[in-house]
Amino acid sequence: MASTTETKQKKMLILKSADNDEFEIEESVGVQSETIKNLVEDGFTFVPLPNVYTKALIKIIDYLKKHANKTDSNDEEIKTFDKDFVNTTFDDLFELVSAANYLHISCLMNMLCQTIADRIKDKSPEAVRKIFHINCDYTPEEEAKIRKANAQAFEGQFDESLD
Amino acid sequence: MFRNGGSNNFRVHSFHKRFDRHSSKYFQRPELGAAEEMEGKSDIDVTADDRISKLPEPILQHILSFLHAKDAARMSILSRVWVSAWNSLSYLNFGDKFVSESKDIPKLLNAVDQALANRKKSKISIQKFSLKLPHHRWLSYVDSWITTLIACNTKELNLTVDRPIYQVIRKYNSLPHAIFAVKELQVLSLGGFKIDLPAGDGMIKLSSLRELHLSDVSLDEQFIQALCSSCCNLEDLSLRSIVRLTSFQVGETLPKLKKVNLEFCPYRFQLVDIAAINLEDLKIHSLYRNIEVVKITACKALKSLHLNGVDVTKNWLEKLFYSLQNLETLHLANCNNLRTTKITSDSLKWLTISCYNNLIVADFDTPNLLKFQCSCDPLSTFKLKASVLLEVTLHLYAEHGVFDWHSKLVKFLANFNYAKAIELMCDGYKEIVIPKDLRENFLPPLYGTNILQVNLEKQSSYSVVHIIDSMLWISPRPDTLSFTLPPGLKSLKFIYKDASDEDGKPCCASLPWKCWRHTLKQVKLQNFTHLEEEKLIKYFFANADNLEMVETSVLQIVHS
Repeated sequence: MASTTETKQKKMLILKSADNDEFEIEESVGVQSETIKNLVEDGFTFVPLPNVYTKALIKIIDYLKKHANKTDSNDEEIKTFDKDFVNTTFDDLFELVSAANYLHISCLMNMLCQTIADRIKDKSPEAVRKIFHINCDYTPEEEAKIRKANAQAFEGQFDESLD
Repeated sequence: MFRNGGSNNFRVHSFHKRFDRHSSKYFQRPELGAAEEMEGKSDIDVTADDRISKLPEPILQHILSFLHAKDAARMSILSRVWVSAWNSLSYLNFGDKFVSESKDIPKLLNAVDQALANRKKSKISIQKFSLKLPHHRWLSYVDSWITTLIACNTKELNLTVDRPIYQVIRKYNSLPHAIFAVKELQVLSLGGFKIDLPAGDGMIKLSSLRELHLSDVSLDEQFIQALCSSCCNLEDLSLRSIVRLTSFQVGETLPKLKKVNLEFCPYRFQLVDIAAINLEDLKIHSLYRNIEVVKITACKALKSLHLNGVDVTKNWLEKLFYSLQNLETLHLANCNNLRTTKITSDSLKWLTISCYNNLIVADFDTPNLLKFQCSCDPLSTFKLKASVLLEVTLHLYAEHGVFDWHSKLVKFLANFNYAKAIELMCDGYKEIVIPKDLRENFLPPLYGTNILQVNLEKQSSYSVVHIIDSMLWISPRPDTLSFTLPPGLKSLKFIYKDASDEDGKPCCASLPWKCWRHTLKQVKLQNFTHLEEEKLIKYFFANADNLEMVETSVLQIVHS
């Protein structure tokens, strides 16, 4: 597989997803990921990614391609792309955030975490529980203790809505 | 399921209609597909999995790092996973979302105290600590926090304390000197302090410092000197509303310095001398001083320069471009004494000028210019050499009582005839509607332009037809005309007959080739109201000889 990189002028890489799909991308696109960059620096052109599934990888390659072509004039275009990119279900966001974390793509990581954080911001714990289906695993005594230890955090009015 | 380019926040309905010249029938095909394909965003489902709590703790903490500490702490009540993530969170943002009532402040101080003490006890390094204290009364807490922050190897510290008022005068808070000895500190932002060098050796030992942002601070030249001699890793220096400082000298001791901001410094500067060889980005704002004291021509790597409220002169600019061969971006604003200017540069790609009424003569020999933005009166003497890919944005403000304003505008616009795209920003409609009698005396100024956009800030009594009629005179054979009028963008796309069909008869607009009136085949209208559509359809069929079809579509974006 590694030999295919010689066929084009631009240096190419092959990424292999956890479900064994292979994707060919330009090296300059791939090295925005620290993980891939380190492998490339060690001479690899075939990069197995056992923690990244195909559907997340397709989206991430899209993202990397878009951001590799950043110029002075396509700022707005990239902003729109990013906005669409994070406009997806939580399941997708969690899948992507795990992949971005494994691949060490810090700008993508920040964007995804910011998107998730925005859904927690100003909310009451009850609302956050419902939004993310979080079950409480405390005994009533433990819960009271935590509430007391962080008393200031529970003062005031919070957003109870689920959007 | 992953989708590309889908939008869940919006519901998009798109309706198309076609109007034929010979029949009043039209097809209507609502395209709801896009909306129906979309999945509901995280509909509440009790059986669903708690996936967020299964994320590895570092990712969960990365998410919490974007929250105010109060929000992050509150989430500790969710479950054991979350309390653990909070207790070892290394980002503490007690930022500006602050209790306004002073009776609540002691509770907050207590919360900060506790959060820091817990981290010190558990030996957790602090990546980032941010705090804005609304009153100096609690400054004594800050001293002890800084001691803890040093113990926790803090990398980034943002600290603002409101300035005390004594007898109507706002004083500055004194800054704990311990802060100058935090070797691990990489980013430091301070507001509301008087900064003096530590007694004794007077040294700053911030050897890892990459970014320093000081705002609303009192300091002098000695501090800048100390900074230059010890912070050799400094990349970004920003000074805003600084008092006492009267000269700013940065030499070659800061080889990594890439970005400098100098804004709103009210003292009379004797000298601004920057000779940082790798500086790429410089912004000087509101320095109403003789420009001759500003010496920056040694910054050979400079790519982007913003000057706002600085008395730039023609000579100073000429010398600047002679010395700085890498300058790609120049923004000039409120440079009130600049009456004539000449810029010669092969590197310049983006030029913004907003000097309102003072600039009269401009000559730009900039063959690689891609973006030109200007807000000033139409210049009577103007020369521009730019790239064929040039995009132009002009802000137009018609003055009352200037009777030949429109003829000046038409002459000025002609300079941009071959630009790739032109955007005109206007206060109202009167700027963009060129009087009929004038149209007979001039050649359409933008006959070579394909894309014309007009952005209007206000509603007006002019009808859409008036505006489009004028836009089509200004640019008589465009591919796209569009205008924004809050809340949205309305656009028209044009398809013309093949050029080979042209019959060689002269065009009505005395152009070398035929204008839209003779060649227009098809028009697509987007986002107009029904009334506007009706008027425009009538207008186009009445004025375009060969028009075959008008197609309309409305894209309603409804926030769900």
